[in-house]
Amino acid sequence: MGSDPLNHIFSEFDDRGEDARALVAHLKKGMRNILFHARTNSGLSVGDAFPFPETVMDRLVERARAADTAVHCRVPGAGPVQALPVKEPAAVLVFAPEAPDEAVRLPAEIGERISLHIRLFLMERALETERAHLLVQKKQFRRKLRALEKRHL
Amino acid sequence: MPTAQSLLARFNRIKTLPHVEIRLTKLLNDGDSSLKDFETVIRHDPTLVLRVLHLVNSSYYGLQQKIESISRAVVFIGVKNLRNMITSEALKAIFEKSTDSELFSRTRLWLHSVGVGICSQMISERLYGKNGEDAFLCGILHDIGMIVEDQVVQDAFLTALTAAGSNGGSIVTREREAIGTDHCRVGSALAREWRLPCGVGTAILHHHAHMDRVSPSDLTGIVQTAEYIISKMGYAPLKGMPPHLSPPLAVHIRENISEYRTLAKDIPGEMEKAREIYEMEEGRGE
Repeated sequence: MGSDPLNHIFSEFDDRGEDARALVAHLKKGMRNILFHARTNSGLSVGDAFPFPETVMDRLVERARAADTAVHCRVPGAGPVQALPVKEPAAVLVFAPEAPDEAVRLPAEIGERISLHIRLFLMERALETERAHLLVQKKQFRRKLRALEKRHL
Repeated sequence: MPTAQSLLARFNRIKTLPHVEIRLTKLLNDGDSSLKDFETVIRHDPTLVLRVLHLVNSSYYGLQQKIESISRAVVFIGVKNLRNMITSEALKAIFEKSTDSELFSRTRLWLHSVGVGICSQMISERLYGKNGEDAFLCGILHDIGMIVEDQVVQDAFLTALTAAGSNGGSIVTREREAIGTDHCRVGSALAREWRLPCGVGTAILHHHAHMDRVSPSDLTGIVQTAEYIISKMGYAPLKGMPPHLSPPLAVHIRENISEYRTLAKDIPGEMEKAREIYEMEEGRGE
């Protein structure tokens, strides 16, 4: 839920995979024909199933996390695969073409496009969070006003 | 082993609530009291007159016009608010005494108590549309039993804190082992002695209880929830002891998470406004 410093207060009530799931859905809407998978830093996996074993995914995620930058590889049967560490939501994003083909290449600017999509996603989420906050706050102030009115009646 | 009552008897020889507070509480409990009665009690204490006028004209209330008469001030802030203000003032003096140690700090406990008071009042008013004065009183008093223990049986109290810190377990269990009673029982007995509303004493008694049945809108539920939030914000009363929350309250927070997020976001602002009234020092407990 954004980078609000007060978020840790209710961290144990959070659905930890929610942000990562929303990010994957956002990317899939904006970038068609690409498979997306996110592995959160708390170990949750969300998104598309990839046509290769989990151990390959594990290694890729570990490499990206250790390097703290995008890593590329070509997996037989899956074509080119990339893993990109993301700061918020804290996760490693793995992506590959939907129709694997030895000749297929991911677009050169894909990393940049994904970064822009993530920025857009975070801004939309922040705006939505602020809007929800104001609506709830308005509701709460109405209740408080009712309580104060009762006190002075 | 001493009981809550015997600790209180020894505590009361050291520190009592101001006479004016006791008279105001009596008036509040008496349904026939008029505003004039309250005014008369306040007028007998010139310091209190100044304090009430200062409070009502402070930025906390943000009035456009200055209030200069005590009767208008009482009407404006309300008698329960007034009682809370006087109780807080008296408590602050109690909390200030004695030196702070690594294990237990009255300054830290004061910040925690004011925070829980403010948060309890916010929950009562903003989530349930109920008057929040009693919730505030519960919050600011919920740990007063620790002050009594620190004052009267300090060595045993520190033993309990050390045991809770090193061996784990709840502070209440460790207090019962080392002292023979706990701060919840002592605080509740004190609330009875001060003739505070019955619900206040009950909430103080149960604020550490692990309850399978507790209503989130009861004073006990409100204080336990407020203590959890304030401790998570860095205003824990004791170092290294995680805040406790009864299961129904955890479910309630999960179901109303957007309400609580909004509330928590506004707590620092409310605490800042209260700083002028309660003369809180800067900084958190941890």
